Amino acid sequence: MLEVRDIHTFYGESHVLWGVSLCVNEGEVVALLGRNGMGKSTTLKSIIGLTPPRSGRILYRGQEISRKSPFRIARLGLGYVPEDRRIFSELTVKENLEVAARARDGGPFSLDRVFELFPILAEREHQRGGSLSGGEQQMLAIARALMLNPQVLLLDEPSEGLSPLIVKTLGKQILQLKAMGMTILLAEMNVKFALTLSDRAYVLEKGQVRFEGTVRELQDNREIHDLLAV
Amino acid sequence: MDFTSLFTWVPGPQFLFAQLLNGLTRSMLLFLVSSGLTLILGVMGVANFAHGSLYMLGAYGSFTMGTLLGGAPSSFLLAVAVVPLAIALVGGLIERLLLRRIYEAEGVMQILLTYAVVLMVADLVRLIWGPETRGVPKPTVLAGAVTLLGTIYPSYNLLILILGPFLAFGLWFLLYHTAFGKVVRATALDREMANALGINVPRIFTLVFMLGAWLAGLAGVLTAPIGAITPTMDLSIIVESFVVVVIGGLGSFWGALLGALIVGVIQAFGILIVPRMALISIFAIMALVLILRPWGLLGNPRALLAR
Amino acid sequence: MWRSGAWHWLVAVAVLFTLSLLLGDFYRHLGMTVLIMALFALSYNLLLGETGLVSFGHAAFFGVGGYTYALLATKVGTPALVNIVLAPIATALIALLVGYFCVRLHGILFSMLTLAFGQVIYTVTFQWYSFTGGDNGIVGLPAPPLLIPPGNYAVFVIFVVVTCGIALWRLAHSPFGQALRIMRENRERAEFIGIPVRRLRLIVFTIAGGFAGIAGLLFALLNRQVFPDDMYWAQTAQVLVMSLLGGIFTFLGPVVGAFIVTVLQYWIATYTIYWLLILGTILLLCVLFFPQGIVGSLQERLKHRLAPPPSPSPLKGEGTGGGGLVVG
Repeated sequence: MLEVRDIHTFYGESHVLWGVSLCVNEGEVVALLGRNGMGKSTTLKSIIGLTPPRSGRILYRGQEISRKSPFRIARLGLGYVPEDRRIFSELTVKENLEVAARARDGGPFSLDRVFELFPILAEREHQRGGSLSGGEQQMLAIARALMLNPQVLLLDEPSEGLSPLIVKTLGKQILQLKAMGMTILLAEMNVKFALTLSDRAYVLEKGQVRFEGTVRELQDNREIHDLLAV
Repeated sequence: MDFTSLFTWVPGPQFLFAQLLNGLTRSMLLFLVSSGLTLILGVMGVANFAHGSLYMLGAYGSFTMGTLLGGAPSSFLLAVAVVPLAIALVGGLIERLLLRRIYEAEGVMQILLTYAVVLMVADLVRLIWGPETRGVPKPTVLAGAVTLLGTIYPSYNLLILILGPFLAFGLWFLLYHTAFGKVVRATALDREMANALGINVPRIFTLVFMLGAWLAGLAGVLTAPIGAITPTMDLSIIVESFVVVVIGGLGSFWGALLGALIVGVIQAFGILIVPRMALISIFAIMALVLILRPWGLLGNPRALLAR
Repeated sequence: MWRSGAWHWLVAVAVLFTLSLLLGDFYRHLGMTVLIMALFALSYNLLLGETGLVSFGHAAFFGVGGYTYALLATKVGTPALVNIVLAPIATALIALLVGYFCVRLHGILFSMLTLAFGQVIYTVTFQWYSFTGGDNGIVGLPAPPLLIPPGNYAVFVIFVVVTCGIALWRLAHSPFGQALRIMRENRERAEFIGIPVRRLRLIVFTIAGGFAGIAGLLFALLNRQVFPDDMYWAQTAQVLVMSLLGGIFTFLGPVVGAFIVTVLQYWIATYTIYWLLILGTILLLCVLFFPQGIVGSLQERLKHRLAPPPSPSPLKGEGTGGGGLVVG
């Protein structure tokens, strides 16, 4: 469904991604692992078009999206949930969600549906986004991306800065989405968290893919395990 | 000793009241221009120097409309309806053809681009309409005056005083209670994220710029009957508008209103004290604000860092 | 270092002096105007290209330089040589005062405040009829007898401009200039490594104002008159375009720009009065298509031809013009 082929991404003159390739099949949850600064966020940003790759291709359902504007990519069906959430702090919860709503031919997600999935947001419907706690903001960020009725969710370090209890709840919600058929690419530093949710995993080191395989294969691989310092 | 004779120089209450109304009228017009300026600044991060030029074009536009229609009574209404739209179109062209090319460039270049437009329009106006001061008559229905609290005040100014809050309300409603407004506010807060959520940010930019231009053009049309239409009116209004925006807070809607009120009223009274240099009085306020509270009275301290 | 500076000085002076002997009256006058504008532009680029500060009120200092001399000469009656020395000093002091307020701000706020100050100075000059003569200006300025013959004055202008130019060049190539460029690239990084940003800005603002004052003084003596127009905002626009057209990230760029713009202005004046339109168009085209300016793009071409293909640099976010001063 989503295919990244040999992309090279730069920040200015800084070469960050060196020929990254990966693919995500429909209904899968794929983890993108690696220590800080290894290129996970950049990969997601390249896919959604915020830092487009200088070379290489990105294909979504066979369609080339590597040179498109982010909003066009989003409208095609990719939901992006960035690192540090980036919710619109001066807008209310409801407004945050409404702003992302697109009339996509009958997707399962509407305001009501999203409030069902994340009841805590329903409680805070008219509160300013900036007044929410970290965990609530994370849920809002995910809910907001869902309002696009995406078919692929790009989650960038959702567990970062959250307490273990909240992380647990988050995990349940992600599994719920998976059960609904959502395809997810999950970039995470928290390896344990990521592996409980994923089917397959890629490991990035210094902007290159060092490992790809199933979760099982990863857990059996001593070297990679050490690399991730788990 | 007769103390009252010491104060004969103090204008009577009616005069003061009239000056206050003058100040408020000025404020309303200033608000129209400044709100557009602060909107463009807040949403797009562009300091549109050409905003004064758009205002000036609006005034000259209404002059042309007046001459075309030969002073027909409805020409004012027509001017109000048509000219701001034309200015909005000009704004749209400026944004799409010129500004859009340099969003990726350093902020310096954006300032210089709008400055280039200012230079060009300044001479274009002279070219098309000549260097003489122009004027536009007030619509006959409003040419008279009314008595308010013992003061005789021009009806036309009253129109502006009433129109101002209406437009402010309209803008507020647009920004805070419509889908478009929410999208604009989201874009102002985090344009990258808005983009990643499917919002056509380039189009929003164009629309916001056009809205700002519309407001500036409208202000120009409304000013025309009571102010002099000169080829230098762009300079005075842009300096004043930036003062308003600075005092109120960069990108703040209410700040623009508050700033406009302050500047308009202070200027009206400043003219009494220091007749030819009222600019200095508002300038002093701006300097004060910049030293004590550089993000403006209603602005966001963090926003200042981002700029 | 001083040796190369002295060598440049000698060469420049010799070349210009020879030229001045060859040119007739009109072209010599034009040539002197070009030199004066070059100095003005160099002072402006100290702010724009070196430090990244866009000032919209720089012409005020140009005007103040001329007006100080004019007022001292006509109202106070001090000897001409004294006035010549006092004018730049007075200008620098005013620049210091203005700069004190302006450098607290960044970006667009800085620019707006400089515009506001510039306008205030202009308005005061324009309105204070009794003192400054308003828009009649002050004409018939006295000059030191030695400088009255045009040939002599040409030598004086050459001497002053080249000396100032070399001084500015030395400044740009000094650690001070380096610090300015760091401030331009990334203000936060500069603060982080301990550069006193505000103080340096104030210093450079004052210096730039002072040199603009010298240019203004030379201009006043050249034409023996001053007008409020000398400090009008359009005059700043002119020097801005000179810098950009020539290349703000190079040292000689503003000089080249000054030459082109001044000559163009004289030439265009015979055809149309709509100079701002032309100026604005040039500025527009430069910003859109030609931001490195003439000298800047020449440098780029030379670099590409001479240097091997660059390897990716580890530094983030290097702009195209980030090299700063390369050619002296």
